[in-house]
Amino acid sequence: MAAPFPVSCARRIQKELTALHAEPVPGVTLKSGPDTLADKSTDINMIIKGAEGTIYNGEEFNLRFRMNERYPFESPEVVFQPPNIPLHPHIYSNGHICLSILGNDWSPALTISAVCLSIVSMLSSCKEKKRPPDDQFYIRTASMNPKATRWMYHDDNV
Amino acid sequence: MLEMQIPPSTTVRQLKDQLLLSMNAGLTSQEKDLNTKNLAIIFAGKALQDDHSLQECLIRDATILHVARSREDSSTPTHDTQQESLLPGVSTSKSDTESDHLIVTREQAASLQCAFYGYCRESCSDVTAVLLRFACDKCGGFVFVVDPITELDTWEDILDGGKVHGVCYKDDCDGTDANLIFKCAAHQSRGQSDRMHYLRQIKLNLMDIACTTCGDVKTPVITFSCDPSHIMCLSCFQQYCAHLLAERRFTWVANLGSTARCPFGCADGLIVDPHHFYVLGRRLYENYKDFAAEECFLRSGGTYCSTCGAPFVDESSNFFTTCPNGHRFCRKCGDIAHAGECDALPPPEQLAVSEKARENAHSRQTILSTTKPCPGCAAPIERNGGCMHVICARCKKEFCWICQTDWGIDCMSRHWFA
Ligand SMILES: [Zn+2]
Ligand SMILES: [Zn+2]
Ligand SMILES: [Zn+2]
Ligand SMILES: [Zn+2]
Ligand SMILES: [Zn+2]
Ligand SMILES: [Zn+2]
Ligand SMILES: [Zn+2]
Ligand SMILES: [Zn+2]
Repeated sequence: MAAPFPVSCARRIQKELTALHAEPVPGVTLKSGPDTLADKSTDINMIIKGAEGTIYNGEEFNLRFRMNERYPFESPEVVFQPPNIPLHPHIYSNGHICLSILGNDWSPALTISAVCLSIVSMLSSCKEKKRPPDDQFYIRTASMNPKATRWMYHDDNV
Repeated sequence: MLEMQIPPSTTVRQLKDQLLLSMNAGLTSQEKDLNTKNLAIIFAGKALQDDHSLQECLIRDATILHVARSREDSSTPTHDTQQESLLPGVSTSKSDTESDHLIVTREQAASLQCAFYGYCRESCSDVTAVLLRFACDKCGGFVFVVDPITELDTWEDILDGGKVHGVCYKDDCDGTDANLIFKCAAHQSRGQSDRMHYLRQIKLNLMDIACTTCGDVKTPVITFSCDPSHIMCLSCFQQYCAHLLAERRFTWVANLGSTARCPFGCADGLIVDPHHFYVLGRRLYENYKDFAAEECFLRSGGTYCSTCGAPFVDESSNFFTTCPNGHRFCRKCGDIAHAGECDALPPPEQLAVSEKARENAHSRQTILSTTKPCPGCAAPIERNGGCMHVICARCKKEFCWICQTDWGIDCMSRHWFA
């Protein structure tokens, strides 16, 4: 059996969920939280709705957060879940996202909300639906966990 | 040295009377010229006032007080010129006629008591409140009365190691300068040399600000140097630093070395004194020091031998260098000296057909097994298996282990997992 979450880590996640409930990120809803914070790894599922006036208008995407016991010092693993993976130059067809705050630029002061905000703005600012240039190669070789990939961050402003 | 058991409500005058009793015992009446007026009891840089209780003077268990005979001249320490030292956050009355300004209110006294923190390495292995004491610069003794300090700036200066003026009351010493020293408030003092390091970025959380990381309101806290200063509770700071150490993600700042940045990434938000990393505990602090030393060495142009790992400095700009143990190697690729200039390795397809490459002993085998200098910062990088996409933990440069240049789509398709 996996070791339980440290209390401090579970409390932090709990606080974030409470804050997220009180102050939701526009276009993002919490679909399911962890049943219990006693497991070693915990999944939080969010639904992101494509905003009006953007190329994703009317679409719905599932986003999964998975934290380990070193959270928030270590970044969460954040992946889009099938069936609908946004067609975006920084999102691979296996759901992995190329976003610097999920890797090198992560800081313990960032939160689930902050990550959602970045992803929403990444979607909203996109002008053309397409996959990253190395998509086919990446999905054949990448591990299940995006954090095992050493990312070259594409220009975040695309 | 005289040991006395005194209840905390005892006044300074009563203490002096008791002292006189024991000092005068066995003396002739002529010698009994001492009286309470000639005695000064000196503690923490101040001559204590007669009508204060020891409690009010913040004297705790097992405190050593110094007794001195007042000087003849007008600057006797019992003279009513003593003013409360102006500590941050505490206001004082400047009137000379008021006698109750030595120690202000009990609340202020309590906040004075724990306004400063340090890390006690000798005994408590924890962040503890600090006691301030003044030691004579000349004789090292604590029988020193400091002149009133009225400017906050002066305090800042003294906390930074500046000297304080005053008078040393030790016999035969005419010292006029003292240094502020810090003692742990949490364990019983083991004498004058039992000191600790004051950590200025650990402060009382007077405004009840929530920790940037766990959201709890705790005190004391770490304050980063940004404006307004972002805070982290001590337990988060400890974990944060341990994580930075494990991932080699400390920030390099000229003049400071390897340090931690504010979790919000503020450009001016840093830990400005590396002694704060004492909170990592003894073992991890040693690791931190090793890390910081290596970082410093590389930053100042040092190289590690690719064969034996010996550190050395070669200030020439030659391709080839020789370590103190006589190993000659190429600084660009880390290979033991190849003929001619290093042309960084060509991709493997070409490698197979390139005569020159073969001659140069750049064989596939050595490529896969040796340590190479990072093309960004020259830190020695060891590939721990996995793909050819290597990230330098030190400068974050991403490069291709085979090409020794920036990692690119080309490398992904040709030899990602080669
Ligand atoms: Zn101690
Ligand atoms: Zn002296
Ligand atoms: Zn905290
Ligand atoms: Zn800051
Ligand atoms: Zn060597
Ligand atoms: Zn070479
Ligand atoms: Zn490097
Ligand atoms: Zn390559």
